[in-house]
Amino acid sequence: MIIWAIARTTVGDALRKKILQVFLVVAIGLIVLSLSFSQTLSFSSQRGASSDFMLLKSFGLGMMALAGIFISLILGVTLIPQEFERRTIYTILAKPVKRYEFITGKFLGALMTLGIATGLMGATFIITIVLKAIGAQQAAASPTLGHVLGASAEKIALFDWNMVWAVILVYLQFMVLSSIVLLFSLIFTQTVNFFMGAAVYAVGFMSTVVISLGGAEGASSALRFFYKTVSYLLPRFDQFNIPNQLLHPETQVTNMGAYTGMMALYGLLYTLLALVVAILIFERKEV
Amino acid sequence: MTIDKRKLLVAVVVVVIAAIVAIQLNLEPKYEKIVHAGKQIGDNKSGDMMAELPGQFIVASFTGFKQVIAGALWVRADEFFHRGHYHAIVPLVRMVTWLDPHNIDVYTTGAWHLDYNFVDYANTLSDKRYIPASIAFMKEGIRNNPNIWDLYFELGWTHYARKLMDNEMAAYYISEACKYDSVDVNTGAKQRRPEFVDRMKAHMLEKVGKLDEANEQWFAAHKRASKALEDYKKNPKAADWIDQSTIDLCNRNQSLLLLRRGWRYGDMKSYEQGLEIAERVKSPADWVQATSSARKDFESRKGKHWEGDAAKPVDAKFNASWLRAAPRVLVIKGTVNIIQASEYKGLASESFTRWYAENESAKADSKVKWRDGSRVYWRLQDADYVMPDVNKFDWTTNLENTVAWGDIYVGGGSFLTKLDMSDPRDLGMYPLKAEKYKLTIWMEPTDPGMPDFVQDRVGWRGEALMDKECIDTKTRPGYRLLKKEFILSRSDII
Repeated sequence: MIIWAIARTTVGDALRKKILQVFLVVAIGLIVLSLSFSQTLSFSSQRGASSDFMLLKSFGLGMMALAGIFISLILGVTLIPQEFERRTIYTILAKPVKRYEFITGKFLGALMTLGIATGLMGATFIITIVLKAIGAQQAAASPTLGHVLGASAEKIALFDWNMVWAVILVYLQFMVLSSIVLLFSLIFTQTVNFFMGAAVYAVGFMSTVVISLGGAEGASSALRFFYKTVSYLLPRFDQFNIPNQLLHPETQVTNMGAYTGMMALYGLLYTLLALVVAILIFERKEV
Repeated sequence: MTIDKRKLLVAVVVVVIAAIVAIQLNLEPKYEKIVHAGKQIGDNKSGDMMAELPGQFIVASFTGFKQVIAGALWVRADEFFHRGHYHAIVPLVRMVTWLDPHNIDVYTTGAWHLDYNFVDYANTLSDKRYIPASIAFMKEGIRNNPNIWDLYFELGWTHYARKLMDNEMAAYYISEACKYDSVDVNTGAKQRRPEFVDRMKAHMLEKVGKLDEANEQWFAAHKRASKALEDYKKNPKAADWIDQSTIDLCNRNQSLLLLRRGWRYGDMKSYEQGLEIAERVKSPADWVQATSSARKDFESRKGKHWEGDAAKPVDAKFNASWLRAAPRVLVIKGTVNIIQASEYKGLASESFTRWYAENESAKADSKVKWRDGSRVYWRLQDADYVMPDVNKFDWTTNLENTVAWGDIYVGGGSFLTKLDMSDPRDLGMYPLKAEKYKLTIWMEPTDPGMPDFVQDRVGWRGEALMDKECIDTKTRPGYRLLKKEFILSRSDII
């Protein structure tokens, strides 16, 4: 109950933050706006409407991820230090609240906030895609535009469950990132923590690039070992992106659910790891 | 927290780390499979870019980190290349140049990739439909980087000369390259254009029979190299490394141009100039010996009427035909009298090359009747196909067209090749959707694959070539080609 109370208070605090509201509104606005510019950014006229869909989905997911990452970073960075600044932590810990309960409650609050943000962005994203699909289907049925759009438009489904999987996976990466930033917030100052968190995300997201650099011709064995270690040590944020089925409807990958489940387990374990280490540190921290 | 609880938590941390590693090891192959599944279905979709490009890349492209993103994408493209996922590279390359239009490597590698790497499953022919896109891509690169030599040279040599076999255009672009130096990517300082660019211009001009211009270019290349050598000797630390061998190379090549002009057309002035330059080069020994032998030949011809080796006609007796060996399999074959060993007897060039003399004195089992190695070219295309205008870059290659070409080695005066378009995996490369096709089979002395000894006998522009039916003087005015054309219907091939 104590954890739940702390979590609820954290959500209320977080949602009142202007900066988080701005990120959320801008991201939602851009996702909606992407409806209009998908046509002009299409790189392949051969693929017609399906190409626009790929871009729209890719942009939407990207926008959602970027906004969510900033929200995770800002939220994670301020979560604990803010309690120190306001000196509320002394009041809380003076009550029968265990330190692990405080950390867990705070983290749970952050997850709930991110869940609300992701939910809003995800719903906008899915509605946008559905609207686009309705438009494409109507255009394909029209006698004047039908032959221009070709058969690809007719094949586009109104609703694709892979969009839901994608939103869940996007949320999972926020979960991992915010747990890491929460851990860092017990060690670093807020500014350093923000950039450290961003760096962890960037390197984790570009793991394939890191692995490629490790395998580059002429790289010394020490360098290879370094890149390999980095790629294993940091969470593989790239693996939370499912660029195949959602963006490539014709691709048939079996066990997508199993993959998502595995990623969820992977994310949860990373989160648990960061949380346990954070608790261990916080237990010894002088307050 | 009690010590026991702390120990327990540390144990949890260790277990969780082990679990993470185990899951990661399990996930990695699955992720690879998912990421690359889109390409395993094996069509030619530029849209694959989006499958390979997470949205964050697209969004980040609009930020100030364009070059960083471009660099990361380029690393990714390189990774795809090594894995053989060629179709995935094209859109990445497009994206990288869009983000960073001054990345020369991306233009050269990307265009080369388009020209050379989309091949049929037997790995014998590349998909020629991508050549216009490749050339247009290079031209875009030139527009974005007009003041360095690199892309002009690359376009001229790799694409026009090697792929399109268009030496005229190759000579033009390599000449353009010779107007510019380069820039050191690390320091931004001006970087001297390498010597080979200037030498290649002279070679290309010679190849297309622009002999005066080629000679002028050799003088220019020689002068440039001499100045560079002087600068290097004065200040080895500040100047690029160069030595006498570069000057000798210019001398050898210029003398060969002039000697050939003398031999092929009976131009005694050129012959003498060629010898004078050749005699400046003092090594290797066989060069000196060949020069001395040519000098004797020159002296023996002085004051006598002589029209040159290419004045004596060669009846090519060109005969080419095709047959359908199986559905979608054509056999192209023929004969051409290029070139019998006896044709080299008494040629002026023999004084230098001594090929005929050595062949005559060879043992019976190694003596040859033909000088092999010339090339016949073939081209099969939709009858109405015209290569798209390549001045404006466009990825929308029309994959409905069929166009293919290649060359055939001529040995013993005959040639034969099989054009196999039957592999089901090649249906995209050879759609054969048109009703009529044009099959052209030809031989052209200026082609890059043609050995010098062919031009020694028939002249730079094919002046000595004769044939009752197949001489073509219209395709390239001023040149004589051997050419035969057939119109095939779809049912002839299918």
